[in-house]
Amino acid sequence: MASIIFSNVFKRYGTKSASVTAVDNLNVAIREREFMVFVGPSGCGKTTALRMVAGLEDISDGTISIDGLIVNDVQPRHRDIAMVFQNYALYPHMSVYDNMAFALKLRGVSRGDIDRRVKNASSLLELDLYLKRKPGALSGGQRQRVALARAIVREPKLFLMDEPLSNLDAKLRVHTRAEIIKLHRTLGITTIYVTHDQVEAMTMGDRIVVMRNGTVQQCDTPLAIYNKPANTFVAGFIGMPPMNFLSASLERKSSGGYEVGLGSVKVPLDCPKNENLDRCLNKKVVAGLRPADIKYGQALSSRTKDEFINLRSIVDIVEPMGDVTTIYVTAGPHRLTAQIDGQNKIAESDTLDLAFDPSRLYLFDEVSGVSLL
Amino acid sequence: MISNSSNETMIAQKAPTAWSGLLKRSTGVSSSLTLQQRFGAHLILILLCVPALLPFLWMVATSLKGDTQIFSTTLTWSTLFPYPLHWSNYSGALEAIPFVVYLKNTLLLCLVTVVGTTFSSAVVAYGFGKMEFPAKGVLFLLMISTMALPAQVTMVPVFALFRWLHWYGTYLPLMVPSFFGTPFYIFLLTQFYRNLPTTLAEAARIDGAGEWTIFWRIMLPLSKPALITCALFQFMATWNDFFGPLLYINDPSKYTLAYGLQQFLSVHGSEWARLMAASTLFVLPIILLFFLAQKTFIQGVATTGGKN
Repeated sequence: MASIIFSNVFKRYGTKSASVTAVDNLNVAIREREFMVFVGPSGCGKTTALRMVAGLEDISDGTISIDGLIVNDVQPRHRDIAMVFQNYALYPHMSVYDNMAFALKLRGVSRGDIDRRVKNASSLLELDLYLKRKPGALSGGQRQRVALARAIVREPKLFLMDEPLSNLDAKLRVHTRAEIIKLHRTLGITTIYVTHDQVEAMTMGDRIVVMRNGTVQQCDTPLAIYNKPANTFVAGFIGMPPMNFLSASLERKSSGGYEVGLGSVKVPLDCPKNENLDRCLNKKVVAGLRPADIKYGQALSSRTKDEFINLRSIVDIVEPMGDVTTIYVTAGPHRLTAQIDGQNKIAESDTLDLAFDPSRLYLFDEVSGVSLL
Repeated sequence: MISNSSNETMIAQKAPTAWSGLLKRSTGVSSSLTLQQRFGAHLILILLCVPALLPFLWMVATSLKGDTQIFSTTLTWSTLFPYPLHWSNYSGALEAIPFVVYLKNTLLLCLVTVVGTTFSSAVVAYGFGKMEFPAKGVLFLLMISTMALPAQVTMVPVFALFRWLHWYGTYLPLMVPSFFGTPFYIFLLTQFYRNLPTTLAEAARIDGAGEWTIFWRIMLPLSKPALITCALFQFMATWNDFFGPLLYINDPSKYTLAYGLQQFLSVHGSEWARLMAASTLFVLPIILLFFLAQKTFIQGVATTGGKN
C-alpha cells in the first residue's frame, strides 16, 4: 500500500522555445489504499500524469514521491507498481499463464510460488479455464481480465490503470467496473485510475481529480464534486446528461438577499452574504441547473409546488429510456435538458409545466466560470 | 495461383453446397469473373510462365538425356523430351565433383551466415525501431545509403583488409561480415519493429524487464515472420553466392556448390548432361525451401509492410 504525492509536477514536450505543456503544476496527494480517479477529456494530461508515476515518461519539473521516496529517477521496475493498459498489452506469443508469470519469473520468484500466485489470481478473476490459451484466442472481456490478473499477481503496492474499460462493450464495461471495485475492496491496493468517462469516475473513485488542459480543476469525493463543482467545466463534465447553463443576472432583493434573474423569471437565493456574489451584483452570471433537478408531474407535490420555480416549456425532443425520459425543451429564451420519470407520457411540441427547486441552482462567474456559491 | 486454388479446394470441401458463393467472396479479384473468364485468366498466366520456366525445364530435360539426344541437330518432339531417361547422369554428376563435400561446405556457410545476419540485423533494427538515441535519423539514413554502394566498389579494399588479417583462404571473410548486420534486412526489420505496439515494451518494462530482456523475450519472438523472411533471403544469397568463394577460397576442399559447379564446367566442359544434372541438384533445395516456406515468406514480406 502506498501513498503518492505529486508536487509541482510539470510535463513539457518539445524544445524550450516551442514546448507544449501536457501537465501544468500538478499537486495531488493520494492516500494509502485510496482509489483515485483522474478524469478529463482527451488531451487533458491525465494519462501523462499516470505514465509519469509509472516511470514511462520523464518529469520535466517537480517531484513525484511514492511512500515519501522521490521516484523521479527510479526505474519503472524498481517502483513496485503494476499497470493495466488501455489496449491490455498482453504478450501475444505467451499463454495466459506465462503472461501472468512473466514479471514473477523476472524477479526470480520460485516456481512453486509463481504457480500458487498465478492460480490465486486466475481463480479470483475466473480465468482458470484459459490459462493455457494465447491472448489471441480470448474475447475482449477475457483479455481485460488477464490484464488485471497480470497486475494483481505481482502484489504491487500501487496499481495504475489507463482507461482499462474503454475497449469493452457497454454491458461488459459495467460488469468489469464492478469487478475492479470489488478487487480494490479485497486487495486494498492504492489505485490510480485514468478515464475520460465521468460515470466510471463517479462510480469507482474514492476521490476524483478532474483535469483540463494539464491543470487540476477540482479534486474531491464524487458527491462533493457533483454537488459543489468548482467551475463550469467541472459542472458540465460531471453528471449525465450534462448540466444546463443559462445566462442570468444577479440582483439584490428589495428585502435584502440575492435574486437571480432568468429572463422574466426571478429566482430568490437562500444563501448568506457572500463576497463572490457581492462582486457580481447587477452583472451577468451563468446559472447552472442539473437535468435531474428539473421536476415534472407527480414528482411535484402540492407542497413543493409553492416553493419551486415554474418553467413553462415546449418539448423539442423526447428520449425515453424506460426508467427515465430525457426531454429537450425550450423555456422562454432558454433551451434546457430535463430528466423526468420515464412513466410520464410526453410527446414533442407538448407544453409542460416544469419546475425546479431554487436551492438546486448553481451560479458561476460569467468570465472565469468559477463557482460563486 | 497456387494459393488461390488451394483456398478454393479448402472452401469447397467445407461447404460443398454453397461453395460457389463462398468462392466468389474468398478470391477477391476473381470474384467478379465467370468460370470461363477465370479459365482464360489462368491460361494467360500459365502462358506467361512458360518463358520463365523454359530454361529450367530445358535444364531438367537435358539432365536426363543421352549424348546423342543432346547433340541431335533436328528439333523434334522426341529431341525435346528425354527418352530413355538417363538417371545415370545424376550418379555421374555426383561422382564427377565431390558433391557431398561442397554441399557440406555450403550448408555450413548458410547456417552461420543465416544465424549471424538475422540476429545482428534484428539487434540493430530493434535499436532503430524502438529505442531513442541521439542522431538516430542520420545514422539510419547512413545505414540505408550503404545499400546503394555496389559491392564492386568496396571489393578491393575489403579484400586487402581480409588478407591483412590473414583470413584469405578461410571462410572467415564469408562468415564474419554477416555478424554485423545487412542494411536491407535491418531496414525490413526496423519497419516491422516500428509497427509493434510500444505498450508491449512498456508493460514488460514495468514487469521488471530491462532493454535486452524486452528485445529477447518479447520483441524477437514477435518478429518471427520477418526474421524467417530475412533468414530465407540470406540462405538463398549464401547458397547462390559465387563471387565470395571465388575471391577468398583457394582450397578445392573448401569449395561451395555454386563455385564447385563452375569448376565442373572447366574440367568436364563438354559433359552437358552431367552438368545439367549437377545444376538440377544445386537448385533443388532452393526450390523445395521456397515451396515449403512460401506461406511464411509471403506473409513475412506482407507483415513488414505495416500490419501488426
